[in-house]
Amino acid sequence: MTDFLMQTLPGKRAARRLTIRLAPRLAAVLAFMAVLAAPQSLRAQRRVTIALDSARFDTLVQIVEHQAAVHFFYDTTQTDSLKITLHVKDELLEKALTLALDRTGLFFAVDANGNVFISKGYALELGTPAFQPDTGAIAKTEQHVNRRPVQDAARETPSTEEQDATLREAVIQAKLFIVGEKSDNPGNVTLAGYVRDAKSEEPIIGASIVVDNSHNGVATDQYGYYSLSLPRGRHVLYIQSIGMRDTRRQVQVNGEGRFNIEMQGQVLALRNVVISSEKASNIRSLTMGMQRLDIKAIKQVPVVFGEADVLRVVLTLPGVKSVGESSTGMNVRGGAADQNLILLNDATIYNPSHFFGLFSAFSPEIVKDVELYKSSIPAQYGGRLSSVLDVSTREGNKKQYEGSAGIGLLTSRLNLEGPIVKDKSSFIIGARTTYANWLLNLLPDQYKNSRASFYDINLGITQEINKRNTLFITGYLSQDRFNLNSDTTYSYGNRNASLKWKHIFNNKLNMEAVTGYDRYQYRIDAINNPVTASRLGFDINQFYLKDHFKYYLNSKHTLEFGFQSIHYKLHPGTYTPVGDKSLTIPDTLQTERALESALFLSDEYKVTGDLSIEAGIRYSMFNFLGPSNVNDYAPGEPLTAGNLTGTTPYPGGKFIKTYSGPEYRLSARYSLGENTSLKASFNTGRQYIHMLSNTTAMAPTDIWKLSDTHILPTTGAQYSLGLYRNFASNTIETSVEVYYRNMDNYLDYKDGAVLVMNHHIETDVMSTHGRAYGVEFLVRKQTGKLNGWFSYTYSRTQLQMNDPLAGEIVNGGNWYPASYDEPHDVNLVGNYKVNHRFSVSLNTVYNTGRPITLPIGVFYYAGSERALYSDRNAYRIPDYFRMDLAMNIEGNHKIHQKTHNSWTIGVYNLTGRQNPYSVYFVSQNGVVNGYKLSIFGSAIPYINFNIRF
Amino acid sequence: MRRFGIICCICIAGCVKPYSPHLNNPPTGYLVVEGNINAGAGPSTIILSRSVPLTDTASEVFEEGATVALEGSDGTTYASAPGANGTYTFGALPLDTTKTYRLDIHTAGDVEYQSDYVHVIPNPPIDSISIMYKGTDGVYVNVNTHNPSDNTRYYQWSYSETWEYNSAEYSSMEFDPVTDTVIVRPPGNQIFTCWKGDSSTDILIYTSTKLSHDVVSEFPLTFIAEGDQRLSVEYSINVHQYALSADCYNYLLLMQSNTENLGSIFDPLPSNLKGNIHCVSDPSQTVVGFVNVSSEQTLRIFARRPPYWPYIFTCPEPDTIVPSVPKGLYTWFFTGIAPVPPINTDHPPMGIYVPIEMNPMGPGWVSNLIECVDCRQLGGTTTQPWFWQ
Repeated sequence: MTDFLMQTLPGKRAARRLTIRLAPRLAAVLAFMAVLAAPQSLRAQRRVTIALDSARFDTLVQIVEHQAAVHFFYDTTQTDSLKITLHVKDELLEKALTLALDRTGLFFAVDANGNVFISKGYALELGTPAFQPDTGAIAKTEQHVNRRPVQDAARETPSTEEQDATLREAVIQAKLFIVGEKSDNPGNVTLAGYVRDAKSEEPIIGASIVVDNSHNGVATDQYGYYSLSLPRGRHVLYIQSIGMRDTRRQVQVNGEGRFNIEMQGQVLALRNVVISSEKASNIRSLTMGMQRLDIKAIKQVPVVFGEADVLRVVLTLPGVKSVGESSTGMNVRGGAADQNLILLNDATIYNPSHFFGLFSAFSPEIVKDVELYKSSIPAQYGGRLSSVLDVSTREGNKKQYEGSAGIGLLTSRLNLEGPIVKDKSSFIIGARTTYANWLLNLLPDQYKNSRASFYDINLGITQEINKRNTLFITGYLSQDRFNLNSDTTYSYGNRNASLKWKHIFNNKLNMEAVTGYDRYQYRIDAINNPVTASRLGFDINQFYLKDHFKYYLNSKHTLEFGFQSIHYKLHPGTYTPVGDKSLTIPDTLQTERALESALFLSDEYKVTGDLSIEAGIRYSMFNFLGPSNVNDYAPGEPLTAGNLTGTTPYPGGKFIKTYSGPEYRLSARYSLGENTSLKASFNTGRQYIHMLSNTTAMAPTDIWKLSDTHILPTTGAQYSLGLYRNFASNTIETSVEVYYRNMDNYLDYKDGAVLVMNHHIETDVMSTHGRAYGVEFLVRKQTGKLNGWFSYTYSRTQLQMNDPLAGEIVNGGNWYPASYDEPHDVNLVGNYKVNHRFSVSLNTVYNTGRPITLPIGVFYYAGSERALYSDRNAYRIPDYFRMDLAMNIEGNHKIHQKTHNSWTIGVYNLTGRQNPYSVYFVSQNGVVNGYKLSIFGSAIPYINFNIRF
Repeated sequence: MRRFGIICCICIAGCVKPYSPHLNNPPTGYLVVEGNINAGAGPSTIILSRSVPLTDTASEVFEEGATVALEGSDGTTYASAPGANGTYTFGALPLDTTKTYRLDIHTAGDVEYQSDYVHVIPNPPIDSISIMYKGTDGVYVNVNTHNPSDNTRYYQWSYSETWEYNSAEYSSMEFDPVTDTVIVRPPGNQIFTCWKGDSSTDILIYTSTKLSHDVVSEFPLTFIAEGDQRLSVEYSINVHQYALSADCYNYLLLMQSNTENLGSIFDPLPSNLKGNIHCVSDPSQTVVGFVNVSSEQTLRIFARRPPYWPYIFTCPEPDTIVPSVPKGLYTWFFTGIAPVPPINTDHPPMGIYVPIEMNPMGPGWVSNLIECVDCRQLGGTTTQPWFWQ
């Protein structure tokens, strides 16, 4: 606030306003207490004597301020046309003002500190009922306008915090800010700045800022930054964001300038906020198929064991599926689990799950929000075909130290945050760990000796060097370890560190440069038999550099451009003996190295107020680097071990194989009126790193493989079209999206593939074509007592393998369903706030069972009856249905207490339906038996306790 | 908290329920070829059968009336003799390890199947079979072998086990139905000691390719849980060892993962088995089986009951004195046939009884239920196997 380049009108009040703004909260609270204690005595003393004829309102203000020791706050746009005629002698201030404002449509309110607020249409409420003019006509109007708010306020008894915020809001909204140096040049100038939460100073993402109720508007980026091009002169900016109170600012824009905006949280709902049309970011946003969920919404959704889970909530969005309950591998619009770019800030997370996939790797206390791009993927993202899941963590509180802790059945978490240098830099650190072994001990004997544990740690440091430069340091560490009653211990983990520099060149141009290091590793130890004791290790390391510029050319064009480069180093397998007696031969697969680089440019072009186009191009290049010995195969023959003719060595640094190509990112929006818009997008992508798996679920031990001489990059294109319409003052968003996509060189495994420690893995995988299409319906209500969303998706995903040279023909060369092809998918997520302390959430899921391969017969072999399989994915498991219920109980909302606590009590799988995770046939004691396996086959109650300090 | 935990973990490891879906299995089965071509001294037996629909309760369908021959790459041909239950047996085959061989099958329906040519894989003798204790849970029966020339690498085993066990009580008398009286049991009719057998039902394969020497160390063949009848007196296992080609090993590994190792969360997906046998006229037809040629190594071991092996056969009923008069009463006890007209008694028989010895206190015989006295009631036979020692 204090860094505004502004003056205030009238000038002499600037100092006064700043004092109010910066006054310690306690003072304000005390002031209000004083008002409640003795309101009449204070007011009674203010008497004025005024004689004015057709005077300006400013003159009245000067006289009254002089006589009654009060201070006026008003919007000069509302008063500058007034002519005041008033003759009173030693009259009460309130009486005098009532007479002065008679039939002007203006109202006033006086607080205990002698501040007089002038407002149009209604009187501001200052905790106690405002003084109301007793003139008949106005009183009627006012009752009409004001009755509901007064009653609501009485019922909910707003806290002093709310009154304080209301006061500040009223002051700030009434003020005129002057930005920039005066200039006679006509034309547009750029206004830029941050939108932040007034309380925590955290940036507000996706807040919409609209100029003068026009179509000229922008949304803030992930740092809460905006840049707006607008004509010189006087404007009203309307600022809105989900979960925050709507606000507005009056600005006199004389030239280029910075203008920061602080918004008040809507935790304690203010009743007299008018919901306006601009909440409709889904209508106005150019991005298609993008969903943003903030952590508040995520925490309301009931999940197993009560652990708020980012990925599990993402799975309830239309177009997102998974193969089963214990799998956090996502399939977005027919893409495979490895086709999602999962970013934690800027770091790539290769395995986003903990504990057999029951938990996602992102601690709910640290996450701020999650964005999922599934159709129009901005040009700055690349490297994965299907989607981008961008998880952002919070910045630490720059004003005060805070902490929270949670205790659940399986995990506990703790996080701390606070300023390092007040208002300049902050830290946030969060850690989570599990104590699940007690649960495993209760398992049937078969799993009795199982062990599992995990932890994760997040760190974020924000350092504002000056107004133009900010540094962000983030770190992430996760580790999992489990053993399922065998002598084999699995462990895996992510390690990520990044440094980001955000630099603002000027209002029109800013830049973000990030460099960082990501690692994913896993290890399998089998050490019980000393002769065969061994350890298998795998890791991916990537070092990246990204530079991203955003240039607000003018009100019609916003350009984004930059480059990215990733250096990969994979150790695809290291097999080593453990102990002296082990006869295990050490075996190491060749290290894979590659460089993936991309240049991108995109332009968001507002053709007219109704039509916007975003056109982007990304040119990506992939170099498979030496040193490496590349397997040679007989030319024209299928890649099989039998056709392996030898190897060709390449020296270090040599570009062994280069793939490159353009990726197009096009999207357009056309408004069909204020509440409706039509969007279309076309996207292409290229993917150079692949996960190889022959299990249904994404297993922690899946192999990642870079494209190389034999494994081509996967390419794909997606076409989508959507219609968006909002109802009921934009509180209800609806959308329909259809899409079609195709994929080439999609890797599927061959029958009997060996994926671990394979020196010629290209012989065990095959390239397939893929196609996917679907239609997604979404109805979402984000505000109000009842909120949530309902989605229905019909979609198909099919693969085809018909090239005998590329591998074995599957299912006779016909299209076959991918293992995550679940045509019908219905989700209902609802939350009902009974009151501020108690809310109930319901989550309901239905989908068609996923395809599986079932036996075509049984045969007798090696002393037992055995199942014979043929066509891949020709059958389906039974349909999936689940309903979860949760109750969130907050402690009291008193601000000034040491800790705030809350409880979450819920039931996962309320109906106790035994949803099959898989169906399988196994030979036991000589005969084939069919079974269905449910992971959570009964209702699971849970309880969670959270504490904030 | 703990209560919640118990509820929620009941199913975390999986609620597994039997499941039988409706499947459109083709009625005519695919040809299944099983058996190892023995390049050593003994005979070789190939079994031909057909797959059956999953829902079908009918047991194995054998392929009878086929002609099965072994052809060498040098043109030599060996014919087999058909036997019962789809078996086709070759005599000892003087195979040349430098040549390759294939199986040629002509079914009675005049469809010809051929395998690929395969090499003869060297098979070292089994070093030992060990009985290894696993705490108090039971014992593992493990196999150990090695090939000093390091060129076998892929192994398969099958086994047949035989064990001797006793009934709870020793009977020196028997009821003679011819004379309707109790006589002294002749030694040939003993029912105290029985022998029972079983054979492997799992695919037992191992590869030493990840080890620096061709060594198989303590590969578990089977597990005998503590208190099991198999070790109650004496146990014997006869292990057959085959050497496999890498392809055959991979084939069996896939069959194993398709049919035995399923049911966990991270299961590999079941997949199509492609062996080395093809239908000559329709190469896309599914044929189950993999022809492999190696000599067969066998080793038999015997193991006595381990100390403190807690196998105790106790009779549920105390001994009963069966009176020697009236005749109808003891006939009722020893045959289960109630006399006509009925005899009133306070202690009617609770099943069929076997006399154990003369009543030392008076007339009648000390007897007990047949389950306690006749070991054959537990599935075995009183005939001692020829190899028993």
